[in-house]
Amino acid sequence: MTTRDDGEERADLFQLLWKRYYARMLRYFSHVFRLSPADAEDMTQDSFLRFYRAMDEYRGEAEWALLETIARNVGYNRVRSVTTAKRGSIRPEPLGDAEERNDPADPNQRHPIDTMIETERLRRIREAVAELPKGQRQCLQLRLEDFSQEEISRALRISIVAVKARIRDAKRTLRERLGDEGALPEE
Amino acid sequence: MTNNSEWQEANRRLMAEQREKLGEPPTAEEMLAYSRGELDETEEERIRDLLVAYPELARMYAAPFPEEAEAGVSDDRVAAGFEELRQRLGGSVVPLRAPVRRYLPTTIAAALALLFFGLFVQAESRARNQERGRLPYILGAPQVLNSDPNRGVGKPTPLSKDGEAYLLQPYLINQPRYPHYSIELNDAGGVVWTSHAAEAAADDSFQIVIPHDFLRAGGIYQLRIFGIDGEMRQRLGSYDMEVPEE
Repeated sequence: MTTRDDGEERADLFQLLWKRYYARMLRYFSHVFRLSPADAEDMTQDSFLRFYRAMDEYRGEAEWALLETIARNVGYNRVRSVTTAKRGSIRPEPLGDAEERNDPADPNQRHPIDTMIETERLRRIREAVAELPKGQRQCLQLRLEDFSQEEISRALRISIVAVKARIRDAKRTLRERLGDEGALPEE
Repeated sequence: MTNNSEWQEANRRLMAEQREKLGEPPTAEEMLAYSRGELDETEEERIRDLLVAYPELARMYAAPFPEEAEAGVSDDRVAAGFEELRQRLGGSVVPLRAPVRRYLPTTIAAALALLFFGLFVQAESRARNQERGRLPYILGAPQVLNSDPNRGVGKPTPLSKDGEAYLLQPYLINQPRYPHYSIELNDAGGVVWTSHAAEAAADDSFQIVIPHDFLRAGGIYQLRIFGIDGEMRQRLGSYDMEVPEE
């Protein structure tokens, strides 16, 4: 009887894992990142490539967990590289910027006074949100980015009860501070 | 009254200010440590601030790894993807074996034989288990299992063979409460047992009794707990366990 060497066993295992997890990982990258199929494929390949290189330390107890960790790391690195490249490209608009962009020849252009009023209103809202207690502010900011309460709970590692309470308190504080202007639209 | 898009615009400007102030997003290592609850309070708070300033990262962190495969991925696509990866690895991996459909008649015959054998074994086993279920048995001390759904590879928890059945007590860590829970027990071949009647105790733990002979000696199993809310099914914890040898 011949004994299969480690290399063959490693290759067999890698093939098995590819067949089992390839389509799940594609789904992860395409749904969570909303990536094109080609980009999702690239990230899936990157994850498996790293997994293959880490296989020597892998003992087969929970391969899905190692793959998931690697896929998340590939994802974090992508977000990090994209956001780092973009960082600084979105700056708060100083009062007056919008005014300078006005083209007086455009009949559909808003009146500069209206633009200034709106810019000032956004500034007041931004400052009011920034001055909320930290926990309330964090929850409210993610809610404004369309996170569900469950997602906020997971992202901030706090209970859903805490998320609900903090959002409720944040809404009340904003309303008190800004009046009708501080009323958030109903969910 | 401020409309939703104005709130979002104000928030985007605030996030841009926060990114300027806080600096770069956390590294993958920091995210992993955060997910495992390994950071001290100050560091944890810093990561929370960064997640709010970089919501793409927060969205990714909060997203569960899918239980389902991407729809419409054919065998050919799986093979083509593998071939591309194989070339990136310099051909050090053997090509993916062809799908087994060439051997369809043999496969069907073998599957049917296995199915009948499986049904026979299951009937025998059920009869034995029903008999056993009517008898009293002694439980050992609860065996506490801790896990985090985002945790990486770790050693499976060795079970100790006290009493006449394993009493497992898995804990959920930092998970929201769900109206219903289900529990699955998996081995390398897939699900071996499921319950939809699980209820979390006040301390977010569950108690599960498993007769010793239900688990294979020396086997590796994974217990999974899911939160159920209407149509939504969310994996909340996974627990690797190693059954002692006889």
